[in-house]
Amino acid sequence: MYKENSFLGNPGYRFIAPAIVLIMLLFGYPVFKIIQFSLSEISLTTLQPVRWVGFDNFWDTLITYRFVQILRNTFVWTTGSLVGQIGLGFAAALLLNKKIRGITFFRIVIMLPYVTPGVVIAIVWLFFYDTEFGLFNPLFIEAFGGEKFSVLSSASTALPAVILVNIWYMFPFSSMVIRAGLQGIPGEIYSAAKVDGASRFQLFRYITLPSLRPVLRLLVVLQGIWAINTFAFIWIMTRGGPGYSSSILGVLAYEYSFNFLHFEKGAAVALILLGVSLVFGYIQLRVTARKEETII
Amino acid sequence: MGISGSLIASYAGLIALSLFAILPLLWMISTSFKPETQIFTSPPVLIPKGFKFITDHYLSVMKEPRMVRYFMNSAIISIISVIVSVFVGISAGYGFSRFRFKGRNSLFILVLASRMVPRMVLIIPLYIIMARVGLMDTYPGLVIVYVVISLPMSIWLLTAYFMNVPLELEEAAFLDGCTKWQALIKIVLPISAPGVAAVAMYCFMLAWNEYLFALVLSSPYGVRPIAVGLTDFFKEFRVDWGPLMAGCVLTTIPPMIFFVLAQKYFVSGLVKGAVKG
Repeated sequence: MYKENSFLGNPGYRFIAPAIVLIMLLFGYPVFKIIQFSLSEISLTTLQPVRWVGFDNFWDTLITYRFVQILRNTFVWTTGSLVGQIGLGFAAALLLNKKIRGITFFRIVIMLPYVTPGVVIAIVWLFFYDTEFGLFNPLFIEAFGGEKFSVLSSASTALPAVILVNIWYMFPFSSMVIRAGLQGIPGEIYSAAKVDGASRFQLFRYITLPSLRPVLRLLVVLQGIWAINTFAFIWIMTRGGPGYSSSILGVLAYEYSFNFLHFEKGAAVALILLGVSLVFGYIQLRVTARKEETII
Repeated sequence: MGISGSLIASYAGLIALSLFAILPLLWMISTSFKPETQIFTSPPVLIPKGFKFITDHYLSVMKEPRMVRYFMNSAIISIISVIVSVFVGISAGYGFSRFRFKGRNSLFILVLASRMVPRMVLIIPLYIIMARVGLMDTYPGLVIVYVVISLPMSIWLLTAYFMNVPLELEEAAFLDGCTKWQALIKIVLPISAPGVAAVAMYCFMLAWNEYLFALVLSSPYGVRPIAVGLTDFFKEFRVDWGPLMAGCVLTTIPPMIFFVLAQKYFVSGLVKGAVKG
């Protein structure tokens, strides 16, 4: 790191300028606008705020049963996805870390869901879940003696069904990150513990898990933010239905804004979503502060 | 070396996970090659009876003008986005990693923090801004949006990667009279090639796969990319799953190729930047 010559003479400014300008324009300005929109009434002709309404928009959106349901869905969606993808990712990481023959083949195959475009995933699973012609019902329901049903059209199974898709999509990423973490654990610790007579389970519980804690925390926060941001899967597969049973915060904001053209209500919901994201983000900054010492 | 129980268990687990990972994809591929009668059968089959595979669906997709336009749009937008993103990202990464200046830390935190901003927060004002500025449904409009969304991650990765490059090489170059830019291009970049490759791949995937922004900021007869274009074919009452799956397969090929080629770089570059410490 060089050049302490402080002010604007420092060439560093010139290097970062394009990025900073773009970020200010297309991140900063919209955030400001969103706050403004959520506190005003938007005219449909000019798409500009015309009246200051204070917290009315928030009030109107929050005190509906629909919103409570959506909050609940968002929570279920996020925890379900996180538990599933990190749990499965962990199992995958342990298996993929072994140096056995053909492991590269498995590493590539298991990575495939993550590399598939989100839209493609949504469409394929949509057909997969199809009541008449999809593979899901015969393979997983009728094979066990159940009666086939429309997975995406019943309020009780729509959300879990899309959560499964999210888990399928994201577990390879988790497994990749956890594997990197596993490889960071020095082998000598395991050897020393084995000499002391530690069992496989003890090795796992007292060496592997604690060493992975920072990685797992990072994963939870990062994927938590990604999960909350999900739109395409839910929108393409269920449109948030039936009747908002699979809708989450972001989907509601979209509906308000682009279906009902209530931009101010959409902005209010988006702002709530921003709040939740910021909480996650703050946790991440705190959690990884030590690790980022080398960068900041 | 005998075959231990744990080895069998490991392979069993790997096979189970692989089946889970690949089943929907196999379903997609198989449907795209099946004749209509085999698609709409009950009970559905993975392998069509008599191994009858056809390419009709692919041909009809490739002859459909809307599809061709969607693919072209995706290609144009993604490639330009990657080029611009990489350029801006490398520049910023170099700036953050090599220089100390007033506000450096705060600006860096600003860059990282913008990753937290949900897309939904951006899209609502951006929709209105793009319309007013005349960038709605244009290539530059989408390119700028994609570049900006990918910037926080790109800058984070590249900064971390550049910081791993020892200074001595550049210092030697400066003694020989290199400018900062020359040092960046001739010395730092070749060494950071894996990191740059990871960022390029990340930007490409983002641009190719992005749904929400493309949905709102493009129209079917304008610059709509294939990511959204695929869903435009749901309008009919009965969905033509055959051609649709063919379209899906075609849409999946570019990112897949990228991934298989850059797979090593992707993992090492991404992980080095993301799991530092």
